[in-house]
Amino acid sequence: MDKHSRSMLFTNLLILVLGGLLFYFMFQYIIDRDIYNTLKERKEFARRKLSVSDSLYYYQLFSANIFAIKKISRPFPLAESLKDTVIFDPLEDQKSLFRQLSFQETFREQAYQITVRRPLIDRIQILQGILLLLLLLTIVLVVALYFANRRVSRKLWQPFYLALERLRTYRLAEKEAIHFQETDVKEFDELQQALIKLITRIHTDYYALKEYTENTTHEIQTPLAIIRSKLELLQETDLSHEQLRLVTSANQAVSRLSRLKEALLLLVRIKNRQYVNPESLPMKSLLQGRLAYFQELMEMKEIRLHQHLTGEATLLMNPVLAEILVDNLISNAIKHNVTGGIVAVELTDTHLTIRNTGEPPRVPTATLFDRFMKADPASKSLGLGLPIIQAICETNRIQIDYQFQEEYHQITILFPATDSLEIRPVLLEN
Amino acid sequence: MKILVVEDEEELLDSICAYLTREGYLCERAPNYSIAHQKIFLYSYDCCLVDIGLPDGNGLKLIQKLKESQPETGNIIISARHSLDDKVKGLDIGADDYLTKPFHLQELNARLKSVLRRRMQQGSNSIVFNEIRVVPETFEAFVAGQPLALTKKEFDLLVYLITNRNRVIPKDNLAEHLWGDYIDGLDSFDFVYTHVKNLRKKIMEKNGQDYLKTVYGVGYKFSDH
Repeated sequence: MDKHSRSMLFTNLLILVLGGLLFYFMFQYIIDRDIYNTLKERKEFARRKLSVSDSLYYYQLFSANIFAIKKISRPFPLAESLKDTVIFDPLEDQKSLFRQLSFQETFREQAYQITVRRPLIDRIQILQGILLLLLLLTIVLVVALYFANRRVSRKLWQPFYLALERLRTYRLAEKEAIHFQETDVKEFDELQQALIKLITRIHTDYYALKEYTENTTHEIQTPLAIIRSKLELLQETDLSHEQLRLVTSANQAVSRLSRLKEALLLLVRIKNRQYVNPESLPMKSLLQGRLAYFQELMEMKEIRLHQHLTGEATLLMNPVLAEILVDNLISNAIKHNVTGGIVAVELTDTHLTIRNTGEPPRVPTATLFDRFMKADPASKSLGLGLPIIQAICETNRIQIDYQFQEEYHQITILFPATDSLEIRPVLLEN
Repeated sequence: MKILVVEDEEELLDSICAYLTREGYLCERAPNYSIAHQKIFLYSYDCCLVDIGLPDGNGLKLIQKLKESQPETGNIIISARHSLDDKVKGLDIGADDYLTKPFHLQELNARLKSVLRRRMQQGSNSIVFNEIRVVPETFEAFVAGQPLALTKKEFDLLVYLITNRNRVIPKDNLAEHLWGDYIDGLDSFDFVYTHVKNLRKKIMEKNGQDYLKTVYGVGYKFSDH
């Protein structure tokens, strides 16, 4: 139950209690007045009868609960008195509460003590009745409120929940800016307009930046190609050995810049989720294939490979991306290895672990996934291998963990459970 | 051999043509789509090098046109886009090969020779360098008629060396040729050295000459002088 209906229920209960109390006093007042009026009527009735004859005096034997008339020697100066008393009520065959009005008066030279009575309803009974009513009302109110609230939530808040779900699933990488369902609630409309404005602006900025990044990286390509071709033409001319070395060094820098550009562009594309069209990929055969590809490189570094591929895990992702992921993991394990080291690959139904021997990391392990962060600053590596791995994992809901223990670098990736990939149903309940 | 080079970047076009002309090809230049289209329509070529991103048209369309009018002509796509989609699309519509900028001119030379070799139906498909004969289609190599047992990488290396004979081939050209993108951060030059050493040893075992010369600090040269 949400805050709104909680406060509403509280207010309602307060009103009910106050109303109950008021009701009680009101009821009490009306009854009191009514009884008093009746008693006064009966007093008048008694006076009228007694002023004529004594018939009422004899009659009272049959109506002891209404009239009690006693002949007294003389009236003492006592004003009429009103009080409650408990007497036996033959009608109900039990003792009951009565209200009585007593007065003395002299009729036909005879003084009388006259008491008129009327049965009273028990206050506790009234209170009980009212409380019962109150309870009943409260229950009806709560039930009604609950159903009304559910109805309101369903109908009134539906656009809100739809918009919320839309926001949750919205990705900036989507081609179009966000759209919401139209609603007939002014506040929601305003909220949606504000959101659309905000997101459209972010979307435009995002695309401008993305385009800029992609274009810049892309445009670097042509000058690089020109530099390289010119250097290679220069290489073909009659150069001294020293000149040849200089040209070769320059060309190597071009290669490095070109690879850097490729890696950055790849990273941008992964983060922009441009790799779509996921396929169900059996990890075992993918790993076997890529390990075979890298076998030669491992042999050259005299690295021993321990394979333990028992799991039948499948991964739902873009095949190109999956290959990039596996390649980066394997080449990473070779790159940061030592000559004569070990690469151990373990595949289970739920996770893939790649362990390799190597120097202990010289930087905090948490920063290893940062761009251009290298465990060994002297390394020729670009320092983009792990960020690429991480970006792929992030965009595909794969958990990744790095540890250095017992002289082994260990990267574990935890495959997402297949059912977690399903889109969550639209939330309607409050 | 007549080659058409379609490339909108003039400087790059100059370089490619200069290199190919030195290699003995007759090189024609097309700086944009319309000129290229015209030339394909009017003349015949042995091979076309086509840049995909042209200012006035798509290179892929040009290759389709080429396939229609001159199906016997070879073609190689040059692209700045290193995306698998483009590569697959290009090869799907019948491109013979695909090169990504920035490429090595020596690599271009090797790919071009390979395409031309495959395109030539008649005559021998082998590459001959003095007593060494290599048949790329069957992955066979011979030294003075004796078969040479080579691994896949050694074979690729030999073909690349002979194709770019008599020139200095920098080590990273070889590394990129043999391993593509995966050499980043790996000790690729050591790997190249190992392959070169093994290849040299195998040729010498069959009493071949040692044509493989080390250019210290730069790379290697395959030459007989």
